[in-house]
Amino acid sequence: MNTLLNVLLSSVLLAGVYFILSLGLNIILGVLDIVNFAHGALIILGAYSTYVLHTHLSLDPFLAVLADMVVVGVIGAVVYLGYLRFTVNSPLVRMFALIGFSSVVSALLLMAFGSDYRTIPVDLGTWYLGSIPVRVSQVVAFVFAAALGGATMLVLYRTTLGKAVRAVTDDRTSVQLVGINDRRLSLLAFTVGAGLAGAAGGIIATYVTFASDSGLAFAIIAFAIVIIGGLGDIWGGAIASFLVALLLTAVTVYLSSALVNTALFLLVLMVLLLRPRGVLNRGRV
Amino acid sequence: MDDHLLRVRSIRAGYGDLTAIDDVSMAVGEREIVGVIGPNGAGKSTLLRAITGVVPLTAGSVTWCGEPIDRLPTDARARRGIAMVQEGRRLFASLSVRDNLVLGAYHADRATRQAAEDDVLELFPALRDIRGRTAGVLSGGEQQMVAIGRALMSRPRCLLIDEPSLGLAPFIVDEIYRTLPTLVELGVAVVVVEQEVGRVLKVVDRVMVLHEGRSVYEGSGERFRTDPDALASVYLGHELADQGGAA
Repeated sequence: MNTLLNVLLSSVLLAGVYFILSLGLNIILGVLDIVNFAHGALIILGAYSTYVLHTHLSLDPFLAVLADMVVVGVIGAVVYLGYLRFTVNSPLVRMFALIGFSSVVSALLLMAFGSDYRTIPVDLGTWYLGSIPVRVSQVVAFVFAAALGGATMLVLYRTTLGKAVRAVTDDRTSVQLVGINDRRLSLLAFTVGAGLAGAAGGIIATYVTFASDSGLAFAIIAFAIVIIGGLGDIWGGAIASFLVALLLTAVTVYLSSALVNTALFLLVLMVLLLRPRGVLNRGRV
Repeated sequence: MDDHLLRVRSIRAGYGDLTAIDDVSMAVGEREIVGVIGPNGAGKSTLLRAITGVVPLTAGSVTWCGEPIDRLPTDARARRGIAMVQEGRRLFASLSVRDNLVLGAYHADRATRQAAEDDVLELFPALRDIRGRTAGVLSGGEQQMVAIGRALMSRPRCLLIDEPSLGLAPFIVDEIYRTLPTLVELGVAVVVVEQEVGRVLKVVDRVMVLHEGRSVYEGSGERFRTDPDALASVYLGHELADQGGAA
C-alpha cells in the first residue's frame, strides 16, 4: 500500500515538472504550427545554464532556473529571428534547421563540459507523510513548476495578449484581419516556449543526471505528453503530464526502468489509435 | 488627388500558378455600398483577399486614401481602417463571443474598446445574451453577427464582407442586410461579395460583376434592378455596351 501511495505522490510531483517540459512545446506548436525539433536542445541548454549559474556563480538553483529561463528565451528569440521566420513556407527546411541547431548545441556542450554526467544537488531534507518519505527539493520543484505553469496559463487565458496568442492557434488570417501583428506573436510564442523549455531543463536537472546528449530523452517525454494531451491543447497537456509521470514511475517501480520508453511508446500508440485528438478530444489531428 | 477611399487598379492575384483575378479595377467612395457579384469561381473572394493582402498581388496596385498599401502586410492594412469578414465567418472558435469582440479592438484603450462593444451590441442586440458563450458552438447566424461585430470593433472606414448569406436562414440574412445602411450612416463604406444577387442589388449603390476573374461590368445597380435580362447577360460573361458609372 505504501509503495502505491509513494508512486502516486511521486507521480504528482513529477507531473508538475513534466507539464513545464511540454508547455513550451505545446505553445510553439499551437501558435507557429512548428514541431520544434530543437526542444530537447533548449531543455538541455536550460539544464547546463542552471548548472553553471549554480556551481560557478553560487546562485540558488531555483533562482538560477529563473535566470536560465531568460537566457534560453533570448536564445530562442535569436533562433526565431535568425532563421525560423524565413522558413514559414518551407517545413522541410525548418525541420532540418531545427535538427541542425540541436546538433550544434549538443556539440558545443560536449566541447565545453565533456561527456561526464552532471547533476545539481539540492538537499533540503525529507518530509514524511505518515511513513512515506518526500524529498523537500521535489516539493519545491513541483511548486516552482506549478507556479510557472499557472502564471503562463493566467497570461494565456486572462490577458488580451494571451487571448491573441490563443486566437492565432484558431485562425491566423483572422488575427491579421483584425489588425494584430501575428509575426510579433510568433516571436513572443517561440521566445516564451524556449524559455519554458529552459526552465524545465533547469528544474529537471535538480531531479536527475544529465549530459550534453540528454536532450533527446527529455524531448521524447515532452512530445509524448503533447500527443497524449492533444496537439495544441494545454489543459490536455496538464492531464497527460500526470498520466505519463504515473506510467513512468509505476513502470520503474513495479517492472524495470529499462521498459520505461517501451511503455511510453505503447501509451502514445494507444492514444493515437483510440483518441487521436488527445485525452480531452480537443487537440488538432 | 484621389477622392476615393479605396482604389484597386488592374490587379492580378491568385494561388500558386493559378490566376484567380486579372486586370480587375474598382473604386470605393466614402459611405458607399458596393456589391461584387458573379458566378462561382469568378474571383469575388480573391478580390477581397487581395485588397486586404491575404493573397499577394502579382500585378496592379491598391491605394487607400491615395496612399499605396499593396506592400503592407494584412494587419497593417487593417489598422489603417480596412476590416474584412471572411467567408465562413472564421471566428476564434475556442474563445468566447466577448473575447472575439475584444480582439477586434486589440489596439484600442479600454474605454474605446468598451464604447465600440456597446455600439456593436446596439447593432446586434442578440449578442448581448451570448457574450460568455464559446464562439465555436454558436449557430451560423450568431457567428455571422459576431464576425461582423468583431470587424466593426476597430471602427473601420471600409468593411469588406464575403458571402454574408452563405448557409444562413433567410430571416437572419435579412437582418444582416438591414444593418448595412446603418453602417453607412455610421460612416463606414461597405463592399459586399454575394451570390444572392437579388438581395445585394436592393442595398448597393454600385455593383461590379466578375466573370472568370475579370470585371465585366461596374456601374449603377439600378440597371440590373430594372432589367433582369442585362444581369443574365453579364452573368454569362457578355460585356454590356455602356458601362455607365464605371469608376
